[in-house]
Amino acid sequence: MKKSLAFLMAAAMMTSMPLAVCATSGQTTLTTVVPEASYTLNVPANFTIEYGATMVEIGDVTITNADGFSPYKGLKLTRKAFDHLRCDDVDTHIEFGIYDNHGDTTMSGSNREHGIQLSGNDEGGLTPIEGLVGEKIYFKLSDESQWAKAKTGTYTTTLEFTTEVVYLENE
Amino acid sequence: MNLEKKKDFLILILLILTILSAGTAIYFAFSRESTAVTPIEQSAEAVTKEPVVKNSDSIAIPGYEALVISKNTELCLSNPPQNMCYFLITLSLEDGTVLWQSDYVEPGGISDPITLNQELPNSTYPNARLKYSCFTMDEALTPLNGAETKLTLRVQN
Repeated sequence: MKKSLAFLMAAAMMTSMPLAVCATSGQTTLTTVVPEASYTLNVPANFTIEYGATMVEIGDVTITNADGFSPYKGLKLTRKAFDHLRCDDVDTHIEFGIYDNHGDTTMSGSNREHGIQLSGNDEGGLTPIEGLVGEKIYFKLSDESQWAKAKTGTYTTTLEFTTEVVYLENE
Repeated sequence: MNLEKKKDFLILILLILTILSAGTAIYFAFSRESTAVTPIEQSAEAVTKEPVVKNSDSIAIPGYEALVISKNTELCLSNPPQNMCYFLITLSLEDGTVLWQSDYVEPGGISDPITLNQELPNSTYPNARLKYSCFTMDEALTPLNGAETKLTLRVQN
């Protein structure tokens, strides 16, 4: 009985030893985590265009709380295509553009999109362009006859902005 | 020491060695798993106790490079407290397939945990979309300007 018990224990020890040896075989796993970028996009909530205005500043589209960026990792900020100013009660619309401080204009009803690319910096943030981490946008009427052609009513539309973390090569 | 006592002593030593080696093996085998890379925490932003300055002119929209969806962690998305609008947040794949949509999230609040409406295999899905639709906080729920962020979705079941 004792012999059997001794044999069983020895067998158990021999089977468990390789497992322990394997687990401590001298391998070292190096692990590191590259932080993922996060940020806050700030967009104008809404804006009222005075009747007859041809060009007016709407506000700033900015990025704050940027973290996890680098000189090789930046952020692309794009204005998506948007519809004309429309009114529920009438069949006319007002064509306009969104103009930015970099000279690009996105026209309503167009599929074209415009944007800027912000570079990251060594501190994990984003580098301003012309003093702004983002862009300043303006309402710009396509032509002055738009107001005259529009029937009476309240016209609205919404703007949408797209952001995307991008990897920059050969910077 | 007679032969019988020697045998008992040997058995005792074997017993101790067996227990020690088995314990060591189990410890190392399981400790390897526990030192695996901890996923980056993606919880809702901590609720600040400092007074919040409300901003009616601008909407603050959180953006991320990636989101990790895992059965082991609950992931909620927040509406920053300085906002004065509701968020309706939609997560979709690159092809437009909607995976999840929040209820209206008020400023300073967080969404319900993201639960995908379909099983997705463990994988990385680039160019997923997180769309933030913004609405006034009145009965009219008038749409405001919004945003869409492109991100990498990682599913880890």
